[in-house]
Amino acid sequence: MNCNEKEDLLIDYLAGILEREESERVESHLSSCHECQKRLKELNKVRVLLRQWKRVSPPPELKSKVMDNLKALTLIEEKANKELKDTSTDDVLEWLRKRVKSEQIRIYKVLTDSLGKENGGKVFDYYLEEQLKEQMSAPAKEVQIIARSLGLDVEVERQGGGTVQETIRNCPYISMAHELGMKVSPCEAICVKAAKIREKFHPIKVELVKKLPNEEGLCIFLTTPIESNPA
Amino acid sequence: MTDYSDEELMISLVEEGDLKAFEELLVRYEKSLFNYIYRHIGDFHAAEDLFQETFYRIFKNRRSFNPDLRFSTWAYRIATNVCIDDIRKKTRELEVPLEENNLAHESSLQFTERGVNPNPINPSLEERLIKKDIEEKIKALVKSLPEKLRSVFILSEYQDLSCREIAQILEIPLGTVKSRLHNGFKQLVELIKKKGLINELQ
Repeated sequence: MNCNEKEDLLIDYLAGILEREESERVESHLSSCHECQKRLKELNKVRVLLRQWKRVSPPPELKSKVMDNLKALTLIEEKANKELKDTSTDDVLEWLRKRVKSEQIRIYKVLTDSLGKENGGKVFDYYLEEQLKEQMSAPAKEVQIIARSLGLDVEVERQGGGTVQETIRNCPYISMAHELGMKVSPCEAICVKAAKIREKFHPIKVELVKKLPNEEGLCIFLTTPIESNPA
Repeated sequence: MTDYSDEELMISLVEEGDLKAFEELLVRYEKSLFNYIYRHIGDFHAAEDLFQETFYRIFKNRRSFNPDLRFSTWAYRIATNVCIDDIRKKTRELEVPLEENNLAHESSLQFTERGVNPNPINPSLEERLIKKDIEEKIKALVKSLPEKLRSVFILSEYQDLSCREIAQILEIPLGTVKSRLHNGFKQLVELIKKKGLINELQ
């Protein structure tokens, strides 16, 4: 056995990945070999050094952030399951727009708690308008949430400016679907768009077939890349 | 609620939509999963986001939880995927392979010459700074491991999980876990020796 082999065995011994027999063999060798004892001591120092990377405490507000996200998600799930059918897309988008961010839910609560439901609500609406003007990525975020509520995993990149309505207007998939004789609503087109955006970042062909529970026989598919994308 | 096993909590979350059960799981795994993600990513703020994403996915995929599996195994698996997705995304953005990128910053691992202060005004502060320095260096070392070796190394050395559990989490054979652990150790030992970090500590 050469030095490298010895070191390899000692590393495994230290890492505790040897079978019992091998481990015992290493131990009996160690009892008689000074050189290997020294080697093991050195290796152990490395391990002690690495173990000095202590655990950190998670930020105190982390749990409440997770729970807030969850509440937003359950609201969206409920909305998607029960009310999507009876509500126009504009309403859903409006509803989502106001409730996407857990941060916003928290602010809403603070405002209505201190100013009462009506006045707090008004201030909150004003705040949202201002926020939305500033948040360039808001439409992209909403695309992601809508898509997720439909059970699709998407990755959405920041998309210039514009509101959700503009995002929809600029979406080439609605007209494409119409040309193919398909009936699609903006929500579904947004999903395809989101998948398309994802495709841009993974150079793979996207194939997406989604049957929505509330519209019989409706499928969205996209198997070939589309050339023009105004976004 | 605290009497229930993790798996029982998952069942009550899935079947009764009990958010309190989810919250209990969150409390139980906050520290270990946050630290796992933090060590994987090496950035506290990014870890915060990825931790949220992990629990978002746990909740979203709650119905596909397989009760034959331990919750911890499943949760670690999701956290690992979240980290890998993030690393790949960032790598694409940088257009520089991660390992290469880290090696480029290897020089940041050099220990600086630190003279002994004969009259320390605040020894505990000094101690804290040295400790911080060491932790930063370990962080950089661990980060320099290729992602596959890193996952195994962190799960074993810092999360104290057995090779068998790690094999289940990463869905790889036991032998692969062992060889990755060996290679991870070996690379770190070589790097540490090369940089003389051990002597600095004495």
